[in-house]
Amino acid sequence: MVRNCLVAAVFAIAFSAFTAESVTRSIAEVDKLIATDGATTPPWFDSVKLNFPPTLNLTWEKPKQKEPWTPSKYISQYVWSVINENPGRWREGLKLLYHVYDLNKNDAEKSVTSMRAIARNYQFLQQDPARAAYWWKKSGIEKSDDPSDEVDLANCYFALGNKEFPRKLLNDIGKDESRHGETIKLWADIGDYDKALSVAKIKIEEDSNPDIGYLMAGETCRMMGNYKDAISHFEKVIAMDDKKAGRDIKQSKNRARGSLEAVKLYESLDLTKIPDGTYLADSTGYSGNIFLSVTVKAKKIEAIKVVKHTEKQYYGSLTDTPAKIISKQSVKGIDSFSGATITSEAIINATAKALAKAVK
Amino acid sequence: MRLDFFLPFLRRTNKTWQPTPPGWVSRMLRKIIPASWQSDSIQAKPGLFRRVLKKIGPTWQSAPARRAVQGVCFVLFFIFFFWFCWPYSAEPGAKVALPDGTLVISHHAENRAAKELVPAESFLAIDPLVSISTAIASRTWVWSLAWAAVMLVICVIFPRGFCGYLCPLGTLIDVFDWAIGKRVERFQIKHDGWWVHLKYYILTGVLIAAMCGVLLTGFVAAIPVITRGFLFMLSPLQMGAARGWHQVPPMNAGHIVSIILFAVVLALGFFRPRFWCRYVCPSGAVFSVFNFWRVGERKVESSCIKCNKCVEICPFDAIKPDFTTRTADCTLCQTCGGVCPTHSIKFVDRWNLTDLKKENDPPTHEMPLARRGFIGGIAAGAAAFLGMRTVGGAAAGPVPVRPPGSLPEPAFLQACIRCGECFKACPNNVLQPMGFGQGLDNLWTPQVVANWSGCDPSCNNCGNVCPTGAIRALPLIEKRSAKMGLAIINEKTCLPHAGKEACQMCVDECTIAGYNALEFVRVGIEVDKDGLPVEGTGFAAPVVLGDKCVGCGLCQSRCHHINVLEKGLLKESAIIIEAGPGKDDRIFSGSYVELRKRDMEQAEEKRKTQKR
Repeated sequence: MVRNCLVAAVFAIAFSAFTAESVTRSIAEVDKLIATDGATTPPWFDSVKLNFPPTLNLTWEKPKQKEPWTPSKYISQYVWSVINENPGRWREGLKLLYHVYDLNKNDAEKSVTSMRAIARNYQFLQQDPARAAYWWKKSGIEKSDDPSDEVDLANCYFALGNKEFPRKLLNDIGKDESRHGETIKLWADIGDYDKALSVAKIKIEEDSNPDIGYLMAGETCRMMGNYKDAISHFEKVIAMDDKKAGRDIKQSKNRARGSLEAVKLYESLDLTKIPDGTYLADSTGYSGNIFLSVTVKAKKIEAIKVVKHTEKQYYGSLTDTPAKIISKQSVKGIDSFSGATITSEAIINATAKALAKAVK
Repeated sequence: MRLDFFLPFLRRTNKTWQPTPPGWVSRMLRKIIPASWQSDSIQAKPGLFRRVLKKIGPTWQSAPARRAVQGVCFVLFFIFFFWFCWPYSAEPGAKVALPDGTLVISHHAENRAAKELVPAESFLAIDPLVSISTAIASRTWVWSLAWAAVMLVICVIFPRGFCGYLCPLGTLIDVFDWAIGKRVERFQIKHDGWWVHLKYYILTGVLIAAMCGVLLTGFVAAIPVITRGFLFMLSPLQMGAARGWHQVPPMNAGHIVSIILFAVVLALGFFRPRFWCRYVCPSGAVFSVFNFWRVGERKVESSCIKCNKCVEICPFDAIKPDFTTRTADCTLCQTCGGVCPTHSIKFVDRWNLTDLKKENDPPTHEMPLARRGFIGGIAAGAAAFLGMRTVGGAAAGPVPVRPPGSLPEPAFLQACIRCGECFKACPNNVLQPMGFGQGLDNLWTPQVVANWSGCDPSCNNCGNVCPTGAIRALPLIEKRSAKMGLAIINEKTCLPHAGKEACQMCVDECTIAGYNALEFVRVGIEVDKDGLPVEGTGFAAPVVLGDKCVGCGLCQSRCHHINVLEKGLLKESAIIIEAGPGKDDRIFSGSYVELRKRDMEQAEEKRKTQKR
């Protein structure tokens, strides 16, 4: 469950959290990189076979009002439902989009649609900022009236080692009017935490989607290592009245819950704050719940015992994983036992839950 | 040619009597055993060796070599069953490369292969009735026929030696008789009766049924009986003690019936020791028939004093009232040789006519083979054939999901001896014996119970322990391509498809196993007023890629354990493996990897013709 929530949240803000390059580049250097590397196709491109359902309409036909979701017909829906969901299909998705771009070169509007779809694939799926930026620029995003359209492009510049471009753009944008809080997130990513928090504050007070403001403020605090404030921001989102919150309140609450659990269970765990005692918790293992008892003594995890389980193929994980946790005195960075990953993870989760209970 | 290796009766040597010169076994033993332990043959004083054997028992004293061989074979049977077939000694680590270079786990396959110094199913392979009846029923060559042939050749020199020396069921019956059977006297009967040739009638019935294409042998052949007995009675104990009682699969009526039959086989010992071996066992009957071509034989010399000691001790009722041999029944166990006070019994080639005792003195009245008996056997065989086809029958219920690499269905039922080896060797008891639910034809045959567990991707044990090839022995790469069935998702109940909650356990399982036959599709997406999808809405729901799914059931197992049993969200798993035409690979021979290649080539052709 934690895993699922995390996946959802990560996907939404996928790109910005990844390879912030340790290299610093000037705007001119990044521009050059985009123009040269970005213009090429990836090395694996030719070896990928073109593969798509024969029912797909390849001319960007738009779905009608109130028509049910039909990923077998509409490219955008196919990309959303099938390509994006399956990493194994990301490359063939890109190949498809190039094919569609070729087919629709003569139509200006459809051309732009194709180019932006390619840019999104490069940015969010292939994690390739140079090529993504190339296609954003090719589609004319910089000529857009609304500067917030360029946030994705700014993220590419940041990923390629330049903070100047994003900072300039964010200052032009001013308030965050993005749907998911990308503007605030970018402030936080480039390290301007105070700016991020102040923009978030404005969002909370003035915007019709205050939940996004709280959510992004929470993520910013988390990045800063300020777990206490992060937790309180997330809890505010969860406590919001759905009617008073924004259009995406359900999704925001899900994201908040996921982030809250991760922070509480893993990141903010401080053994020195746990009183001596034995704490019980359970977590879903492979074939059922695994029940643990965790004993803490003198600020150390002294013992972890599997009290009950119905695991079948567990090899040595029932003794190995607890031993690893005890020797590391942490639930972070514990390797799963080969061949019994899910059992190991359940033991780690249950230990974290037990300790989190103890802190309350 | 002398085949003597019994321990001769200790008798004082004097002018009138000299013992026969010792055979090579005796000479070797006299060199090995310390002199202080050996007997004084001049004074007829037993040494330590004899005294110890006497304490153990009369049959040990008279034929210790035979008891030693029996003991070794019994221990070997235990080792084969409880160690070679025990899959839980495998630990992850070993990997093997698929044709495209991907590394996949192979620890179960390699662990079993490393343990199996000889095949785990060796005892099943040397029971000739298993392979002969299977070959007849399925009209094909069965690999264990070669082993059966070797055993029958050996038993030409040592007629029915299998029964006397090797058969673990016989040894188990000996143990039961000694511990319990002989101590209860009220049911004991004499030798003569209508049952003395029962084994031939049963053999006839079984062969007739096999000729009609119905395999009944598994019910009555020696080694399948003991293998199944151990499987249903002892294997759960091993599993429970070593891995936890929650791992023992539930029993069905078929288990109970098998246990009762096994108990009956042992309980026959209340009538007479080794009743089963003497009168009932059809595997023994096969050897008895082949005794017609025997080379070795038990013969009695004229020095016989008619003391009756040999008749009383013979475990197989192979000595007639005139003290000569019932050659069809004698197993050359040589227990009689060691008790004969005049050393009149010898084990030589059948053409040795030196100094033989007069026959029919006292007169014997041997029970003849009864025509009625054979007719009864034939009738029983035919009735069983008809019964199997009509009672219950495979029509009731879904097509069972068979182990990977199983022969096509009618041939599978004709080749499966219902021995139980595959259940024992299967990690996590994915394979479980069917009960009466789908007819007598399917009783004790293996099916995949995906609700219990999924077929391990690192394992190819079942085919490699099958004594008849009903499940083909496949290398791991082939097994991973062999389809057992197809996963079908119930989109009304599957949590994400039904819009209830996020769940992706089945997809994760399939990915970890390396089959990658489940992928996602996002369903239930909310669309805003501009017709654009709202991010984060809807659920990622599973989709089965039919060309990649092998029907291993890992997906069903996880959904059942967590969503049904643990969380109570569903009444049954939302993804279920189904077998049947188009969903499974059931071929007699050939490569499954090649099958997949051909499938892919056909799909590629289709795709090419569709592209615009």
